[in-house]
Amino acid sequence: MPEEPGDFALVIGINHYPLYGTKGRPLKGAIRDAQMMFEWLTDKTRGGGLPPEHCHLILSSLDTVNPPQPRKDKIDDALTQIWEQAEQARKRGVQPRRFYFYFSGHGQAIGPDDVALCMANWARNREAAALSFRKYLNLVQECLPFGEVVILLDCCRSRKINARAQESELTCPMPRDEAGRTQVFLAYATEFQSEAFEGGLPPLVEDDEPIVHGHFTEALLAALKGGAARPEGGVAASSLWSYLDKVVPRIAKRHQHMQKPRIVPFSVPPGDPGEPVFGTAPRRADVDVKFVFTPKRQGPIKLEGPTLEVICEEETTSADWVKTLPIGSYLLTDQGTGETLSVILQATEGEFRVEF
Amino acid sequence: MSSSEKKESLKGRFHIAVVNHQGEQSFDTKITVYDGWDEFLKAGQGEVGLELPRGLYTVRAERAGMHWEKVIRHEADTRETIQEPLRVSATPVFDTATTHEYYANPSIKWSLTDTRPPIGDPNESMGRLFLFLRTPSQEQYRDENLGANLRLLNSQGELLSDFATGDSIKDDQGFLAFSARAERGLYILRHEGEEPREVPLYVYPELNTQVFLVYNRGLRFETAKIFLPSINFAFSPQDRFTQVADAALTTLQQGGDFFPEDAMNKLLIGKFEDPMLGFLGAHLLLRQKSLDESYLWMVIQNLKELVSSSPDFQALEIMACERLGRALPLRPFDQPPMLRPGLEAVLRLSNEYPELVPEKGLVECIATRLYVDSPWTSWNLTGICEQLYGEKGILDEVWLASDWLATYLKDAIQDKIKWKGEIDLKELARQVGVPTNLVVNMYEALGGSSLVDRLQEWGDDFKKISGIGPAFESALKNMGIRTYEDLAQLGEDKIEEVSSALGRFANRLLEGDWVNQAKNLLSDAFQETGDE
Repeated sequence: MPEEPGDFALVIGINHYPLYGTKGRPLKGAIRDAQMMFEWLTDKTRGGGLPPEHCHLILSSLDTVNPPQPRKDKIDDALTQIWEQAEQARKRGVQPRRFYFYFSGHGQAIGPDDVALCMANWARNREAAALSFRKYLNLVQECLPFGEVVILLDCCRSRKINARAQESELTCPMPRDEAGRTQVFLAYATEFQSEAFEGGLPPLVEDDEPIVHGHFTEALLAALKGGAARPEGGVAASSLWSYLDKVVPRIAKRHQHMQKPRIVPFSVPPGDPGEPVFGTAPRRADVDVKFVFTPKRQGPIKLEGPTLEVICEEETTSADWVKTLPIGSYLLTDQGTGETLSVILQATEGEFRVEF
Repeated sequence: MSSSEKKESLKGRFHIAVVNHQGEQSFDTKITVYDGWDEFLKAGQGEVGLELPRGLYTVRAERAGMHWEKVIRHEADTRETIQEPLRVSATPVFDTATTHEYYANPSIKWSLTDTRPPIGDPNESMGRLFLFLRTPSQEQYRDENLGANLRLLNSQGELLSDFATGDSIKDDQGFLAFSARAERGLYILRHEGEEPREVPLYVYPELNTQVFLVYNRGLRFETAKIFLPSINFAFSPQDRFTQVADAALTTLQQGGDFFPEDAMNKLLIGKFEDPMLGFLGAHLLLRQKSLDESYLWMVIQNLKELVSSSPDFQALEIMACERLGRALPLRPFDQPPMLRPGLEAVLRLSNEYPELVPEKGLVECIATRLYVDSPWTSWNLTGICEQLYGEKGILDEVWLASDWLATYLKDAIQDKIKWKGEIDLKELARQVGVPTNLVVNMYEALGGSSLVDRLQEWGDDFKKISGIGPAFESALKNMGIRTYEDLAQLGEDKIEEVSSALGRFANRLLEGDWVNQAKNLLSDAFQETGDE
């Protein structure tokens, strides 16, 4: 895929919240998720194709806990640079096309249409140390020269206290002429008044630490890397929407959580030639699965596929089954006990594990 | 087998219908069907019918924020009736997952039976205050005292009840009931536990203020449901009005702007039996994008006849006037509405009409301390509000030091200085949704224009750092290092530059560990009041 010189991104991942509660309330996967999003955005073979200098990655780190960073002014500084870069690109004849904004960290709902994105210095006596996502979006729509804006927010939208959030210090004297025509794709990790969760995936190397992702970003990355791709490659905005809507609750359920994303899609109809497409990843058709059997199994075990075709039927259940199967629904039946387990296989990072 | 091949297989009827607890079809449940390759097939409300080849199909059911999925094996003819996803509610009505007869029956009984003598001088027209606390189920009851740390206060902050035995009924199945006739007025339900909170409750003549709360390892105020039926109406778990009001509260809390027409009509007809239904219906009407203006105004006028003195009605009236472009009735709010959207509208409008929120009154003092996890107004009881009850109207140093508003103002002013923006207190108040007066008073209490000068010219007091006196402070500030944060963030290059500028005292910065001292001061400043 060619580079997308007209695309820009601001990617924020905050694990460190030393003052969020009495003992702080750190997250485990926000930085990793932001880094993986950055990697996808700057991947010129199958990902977003952004020039690395167009993709601004802001992460919290232990070195900056005291004083906690990033804070709002760092975001405004990055946005200022993006604005300048976009204007320079335009002067070079490259029309700024798309702006991605990804946030992974603590969030609090301000209302059904706005979220306070908490900065690392958020504290009970600094309740306003947060960005109003809506006010920042308004700024981007009104002032920055992008035709498409993609907002991905992997954070809670719950409300215990009355969240306060600030607008950017940046402004423009007049909204640009095209302001009302900006296309916006907005994906919240969870419904209004609800929490977004993190969960561990099995480590890629045995005995290693589990890989922690936000459920939303786990589904998002799987979708962008081919899970939601069109047959001809690339992920259409409507496919991304339906994939997240379907898969985030399933991932959450595997971790005993309840989470459903809320997505406001582009106004371009699905299938329209003008529908925005993300990346060029080929459609991911298969997934590696490991079936692990507990001592409760009597067997024989039968595995049926999407059309009820028998894929496997074996007497013994002592060994794990390792298979590569098309994405879809499967039914395991222990013919000894009569127990069944249905499984919906999804594209995932690493191996999909099923315990029966 | 590919998708196209499977279409050629023999097809059979695949029909899914959803029913509620009474066996009636549940049209407020959305059903979505996916094929075995996880591709979307069809969606419908309450039922879905398709002709499908044999295979595995996934059915997803969604209702009131609850959802589940089920994979169904379809051989030839599949007709399944599935139960609607049950919602969760503090009210023991029968369309929820948390209703049990052992809670429903006592709630019926105690909603009309006194557990203690009347509050105030008994008279015929007195209202009633009924509180029902319970665990999600009796299995989840761990012998806790559900009323521990709970107090009922009058509007002056005087204790009326601590829900001890004799005042309330407690049961080993995990409920506490409190029921008493009470004179009209504002009462405060205070919880002094780990998460202190106060909730305003109003009692009206001849109405029964019914409050339901769940106790699950602590009182879950976010689950609270409050109704205002007539004094002679017992709570009814079967009552469709109550069920609809319960669902309306969930919609209000979730910020929804859609409520089924049939349910809306029930609410608005029901307001004559229970004004709370009217309040809820009017709030939901106001959220609709397309509004029947005459209908809204009729509802407002009806409510005016029922409860014109209620802060909830008065808040609705100004919201309706704003929406309809009429002149706002600018009555001061001495007491807050029970429904939080009403209070939030009052606070928002007070930015333009300061007279709505009296200075140093209850509404002003709770404005910076609201909880927002419930559709009901509630606030953290620390600081100013406690003082308001004691010495009315005092803004003291403790509050100034601990309140987030002071920190916000300082941060915002520093940002304005950095970005060369104008300091507009009204705009700063609007941004965080608090009355302008409160911000102006806070600004003055922090030093007014001298605060700006201090932040602009001098920043933090570096003399708190061991080894820094007035001369070093002045030197650092002349180099643009004005705050603890500036000092704490000095990188290696900058340290070298600053050290060099200090001439013969070049070693002082590193030897005196000024950067770490600044970090510690910054950290202390956060942690002094950084309580969760």
